[in-house]
Amino acid sequence: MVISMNDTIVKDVILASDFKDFILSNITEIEMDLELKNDVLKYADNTLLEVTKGIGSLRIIDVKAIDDELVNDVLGTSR
Amino acid sequence: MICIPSEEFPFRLIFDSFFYEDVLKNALRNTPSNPPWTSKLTVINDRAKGCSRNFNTISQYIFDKIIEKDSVPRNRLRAMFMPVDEHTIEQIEDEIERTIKHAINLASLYKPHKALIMTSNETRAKYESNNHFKSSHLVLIASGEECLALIDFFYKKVERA
Repeated sequence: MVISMNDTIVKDVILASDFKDFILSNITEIEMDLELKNDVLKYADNTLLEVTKGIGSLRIIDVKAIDDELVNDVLGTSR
Repeated sequence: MICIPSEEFPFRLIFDSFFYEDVLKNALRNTPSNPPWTSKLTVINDRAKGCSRNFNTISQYIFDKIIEKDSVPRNRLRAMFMPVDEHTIEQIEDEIERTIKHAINLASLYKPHKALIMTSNETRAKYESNNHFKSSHLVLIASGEECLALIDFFYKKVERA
């Protein structure tokens, strides 16, 4: 099962032990956009690593195409 | 197995407005990269071991000016650069001196105990002729294409396969 994380899931639930159990029994991949990942991984790292040890195949991937948005932000082409 | 590569880089990066306005913007327009240079900066900043999210630094004054002038969303800019706001240094009006002193301060206080200023080719000579720069063994400089090569090199160290 692949799960896409949004702000609510990550910020409110990721540190909860029942969510860890849920991951251990159900999740093979987590999809997370780059911006969100940058903001949350720092404090979520330990939990994610702990979970990963449990299932051995957890993978985080970047799903949103924010690369282009970031370029447009800097060049002002999005405005 | 989760894979979040991180790397202990040999020196911290400090960027000035000339890098942002000339080197970065020109590279985005004329030297395509995959992922784009902005994303590479974000990834490097994120995965620098020991100073995650605090590795790519820029003067708070410049950071705020970019937001004010270009309307770049603060969280996006923050993903690329950490604003440094050491109060006394931020009062220095001359950007060259301010950047050098930020670099010296960061390298003196925190690991890695070296800092590298990223600027444009046109501005480099101003740093190299500055007495504070000349007297410090903690601060290095790169300009123009060198900066892009360095970003590429650092990015390759921490990109996820």
